[in-house]
Amino acid sequence: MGKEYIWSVIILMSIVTYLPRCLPMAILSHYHLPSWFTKWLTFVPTAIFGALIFPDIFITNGNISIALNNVALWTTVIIAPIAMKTKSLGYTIMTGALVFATLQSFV
Amino acid sequence: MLSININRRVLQKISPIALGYLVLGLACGMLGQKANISPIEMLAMSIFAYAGSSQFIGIAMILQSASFFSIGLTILIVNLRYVLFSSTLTPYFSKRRLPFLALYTHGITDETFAVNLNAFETETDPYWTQEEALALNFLGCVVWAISNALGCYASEFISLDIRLVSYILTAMFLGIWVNYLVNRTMILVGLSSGILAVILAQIVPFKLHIVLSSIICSGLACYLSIKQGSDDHNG
Repeated sequence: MGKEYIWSVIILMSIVTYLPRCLPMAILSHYHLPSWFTKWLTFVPTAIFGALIFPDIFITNGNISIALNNVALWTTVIIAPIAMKTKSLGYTIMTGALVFATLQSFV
Repeated sequence: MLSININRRVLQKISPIALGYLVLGLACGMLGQKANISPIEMLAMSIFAYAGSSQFIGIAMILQSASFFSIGLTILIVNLRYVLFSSTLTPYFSKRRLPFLALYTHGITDETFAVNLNAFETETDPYWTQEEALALNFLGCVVWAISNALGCYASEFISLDIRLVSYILTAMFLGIWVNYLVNRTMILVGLSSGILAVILAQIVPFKLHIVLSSIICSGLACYLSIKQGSDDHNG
């Protein structure tokens, strides 16, 4: 893969990450966002993370799978209650990695 | 005046974040190496983009040689939550000029946002300052960037199962997601968006299922909640 491609992606990533962080604070002191827009924004994170997680755990090699050897799915089933209870990013990642490695050694 | 203030309570507040960033940064750097990204490139990406989920998604999409359009749009949608964070923090920076805001907003992440907002609300003796908030963002970025470069560098010598590294990303999404599942509506929106994304993944090209599913489900939720609000008002 070309280095130009990688650097272009880095620049692109930096722009689309910076704009949503900077623009609201830079502009908001003068204008207000329409209320439907702020309302919509409150629903975006829960929807986006759902849409990121589900394909990760339900799709293996392009196909939907709920088989016992779908390690990502069963790891998530195990750690989801822990994540819900602790609400801790570090703890969720650590237990996730541990459970995933353990289950994978059985498959 | 552009200045930061690193003191004891800043260090106390950044420590748990730094630990998380260390683990996650190492994993992100390792994944980056699999995508043929060098430690220097990883360092640049982590300083300028400074975003966990965006970097993981970006690297995963580099691995699939995705188009610029698809990468840019997916990451933009993933980052729309920063609009929410940035607007929420605005009242605490109302008297600041643009250069400070330009620097401060660069460091808004899920974690620094939550900790700074809490500090502005609860630290009153003395008050949590904007310089301390900037210092917290800055230290987070330093730890994140070094961990990424280190993970990328180390990955050339030790090989880690890529499936495990990929799962760490999923676990991170889960760790962020649970903080948004605060009531029944949010859980319903999240679950339906997840299910729809799995279905759309079989149909739509260029990894656009993530963007499509979240826009449809959050948009529908917004429409219904506004409609319900006006019904309540009229009834």
